[in-house]
Amino acid sequence: MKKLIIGLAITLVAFLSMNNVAAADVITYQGDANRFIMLDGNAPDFENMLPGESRTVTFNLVNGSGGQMRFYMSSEILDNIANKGDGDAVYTFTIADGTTPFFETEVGNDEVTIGLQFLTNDNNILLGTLNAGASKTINVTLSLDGDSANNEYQGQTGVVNFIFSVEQPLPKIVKTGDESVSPLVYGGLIVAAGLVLILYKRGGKHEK
Amino acid sequence: MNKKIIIGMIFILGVVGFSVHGTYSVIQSSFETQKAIYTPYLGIDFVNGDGSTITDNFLESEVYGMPGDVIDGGLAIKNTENTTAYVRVTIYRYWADEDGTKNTTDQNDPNYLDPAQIQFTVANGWLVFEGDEYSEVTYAYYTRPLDPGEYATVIDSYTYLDVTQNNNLYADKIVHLEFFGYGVQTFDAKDSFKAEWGVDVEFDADDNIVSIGL
Repeated sequence: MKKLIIGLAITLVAFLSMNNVAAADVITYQGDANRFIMLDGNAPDFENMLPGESRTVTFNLVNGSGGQMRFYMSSEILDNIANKGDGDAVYTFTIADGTTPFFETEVGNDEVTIGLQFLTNDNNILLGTLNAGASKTINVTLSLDGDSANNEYQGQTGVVNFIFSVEQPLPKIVKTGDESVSPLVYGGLIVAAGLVLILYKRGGKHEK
Repeated sequence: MNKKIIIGMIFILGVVGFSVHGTYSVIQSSFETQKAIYTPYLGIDFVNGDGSTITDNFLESEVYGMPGDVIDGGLAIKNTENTTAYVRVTIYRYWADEDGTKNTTDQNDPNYLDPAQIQFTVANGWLVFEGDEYSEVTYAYYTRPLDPGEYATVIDSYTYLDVTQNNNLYADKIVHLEFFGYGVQTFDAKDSFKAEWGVDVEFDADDNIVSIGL
């Protein structure tokens, strides 16, 4: 019965999220199943972008697990539209917590790697820490620069891959004193591990 | 030593190590989704006055024009793609000799063939400007944005090209007309007009063009 109630609650949160945020894809992390589900809220692609225009895709993240979770997102430009046309176009990639941007980078063609180096599948960007049942709205906006995108960019395409992940933080132990103690601790651990190995070998000899 | 005890010690060392280091956490699950990026086309083509028979955004016409001749036939321009656009048509007119080459007689020469004698009337709904001092070039801006699939008459079927000057100078000459249609996006339209055509444009509340500053 408890699981049923939790399931209904998650569904309700997802449903309400879809109704509160127009055209948002609702991505729910289900703790028990240890996996994500996505309710396609018909969040549009970055479509029909004219030079100077912006398009925003909205993701609504829901923590459907029983505990606090950290949500991350990494982004990959699988097909870079800036490479098309004459290769001069630039676009801005922005991630916002609701309406407040917290990550922004400029993307040019693949030879201009300044922006692309932040858009890799291993660059996990912390979106937020959500308590059980909580949700959060993330907006990803692409803005095509009006000066650099000329007529050569008509009818061009690109693809962005978004990878969402979660981790469960354990309570931190409050540390005091100088952080430089840490290497000493590691040294002690190595010595201790060595002692364990010695004891193990000796134990093995006794068994012979 | 008992293996279980050794494994237990290693486990304890691990726990102590991670605890001293701080937080132990691990990515538990991930999920991927993709979004496409795409830009639209702007497409402008000339069509017949009734909207049929799409041709191209460039038309060239050469006819023998006798004084008083009326050359009938409407001309319209159509938005053939899925993006609303503002449209400009450039009309280029001049007299050509019998072999089709442009007559380049100087304006001060008594045998000068005036392009202004090739007369046409642009349909309603366009703002028309002379493009040069020789009356060869005319720019016509359609005052409304043209929606996808919509077409607008440039020269309607009731208007005509009228070679009015009763002058033998124009005997055996060819009326040469070129029409070139072009569209710009409605987003950031002021910048688009400036960038593409070098003009300052003003719109009313309904996005109709009210003035163009050359």
